[in-house]
Amino acid sequence: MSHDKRLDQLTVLMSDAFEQLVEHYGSKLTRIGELRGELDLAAIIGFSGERVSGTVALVTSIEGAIALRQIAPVTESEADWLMELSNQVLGNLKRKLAARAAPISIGIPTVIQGKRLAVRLMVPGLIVCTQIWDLAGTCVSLQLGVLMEDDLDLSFESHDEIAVVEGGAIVF
Amino acid sequence: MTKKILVIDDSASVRQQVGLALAPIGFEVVEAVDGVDGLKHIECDAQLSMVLCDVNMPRMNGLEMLEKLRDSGVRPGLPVLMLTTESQPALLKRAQAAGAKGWIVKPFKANILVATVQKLTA
Repeated sequence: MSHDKRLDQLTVLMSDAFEQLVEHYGSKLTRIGELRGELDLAAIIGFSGERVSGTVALVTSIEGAIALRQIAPVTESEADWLMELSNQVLGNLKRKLAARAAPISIGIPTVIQGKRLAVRLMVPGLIVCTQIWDLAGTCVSLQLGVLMEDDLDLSFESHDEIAVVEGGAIVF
Repeated sequence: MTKKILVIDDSASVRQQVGLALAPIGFEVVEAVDGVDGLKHIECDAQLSMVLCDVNMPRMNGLEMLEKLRDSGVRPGLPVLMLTTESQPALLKRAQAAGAKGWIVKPFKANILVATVQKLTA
């Protein structure tokens, strides 16, 4: 399968994960084409699996981080909430990949902050893509850097590897 | 009577959100930031009615903490509910084997969290 096709499939899964997460909190993201304004905060989280591994960075401005903070009933700080959101996006993505026979483990997120932040993922062979959204007039982006198996096909879906759905509970 | 619940999560935002959900039903929430901190709280606080615990945390993750708690023999009847982004069957089985009483996948719904906590502390 071509790199573009695999990246397209993974990008759709990642974007769906983020849009579904924001919807869970009662807000809506609108896809836009270009980054707007300056980027000040990035929550970065790694993932690894036999078939696919990489890094996701949730990158936004201070205003975007404040808008993301306002979707939740209460939060500690922009940085803490951005880290937790990146963790929840990866949790959702992990379920989607497990359902497509591409299980991953996810790491602990970290946040970096600085004026005119530039996040550049540099690993040999890494394929990078960026998805950008508007949230309440601010710009929020997800940057994905990924290494994938050549024959990775994420089009098949099974739910055998998912024990509990998002927001769901099970009592043993 | 107020019941005391320990919330172990490296995200202060999540700890606060859990507190916001459980305060109206009479729970006092105390907080720990990772498995190491959580174990200390459990060992030192005999008033705890329940523990809510994340899985992926720095220093000591929630499953390691649960297994250490089981092996230590401290508070064997204390209900532990996992609250995490993880949902792999293998992790649920490991938690159940270590004595967890339930599992909730983040992002959580406040009504489901409340109902599950009430069930496990009844």
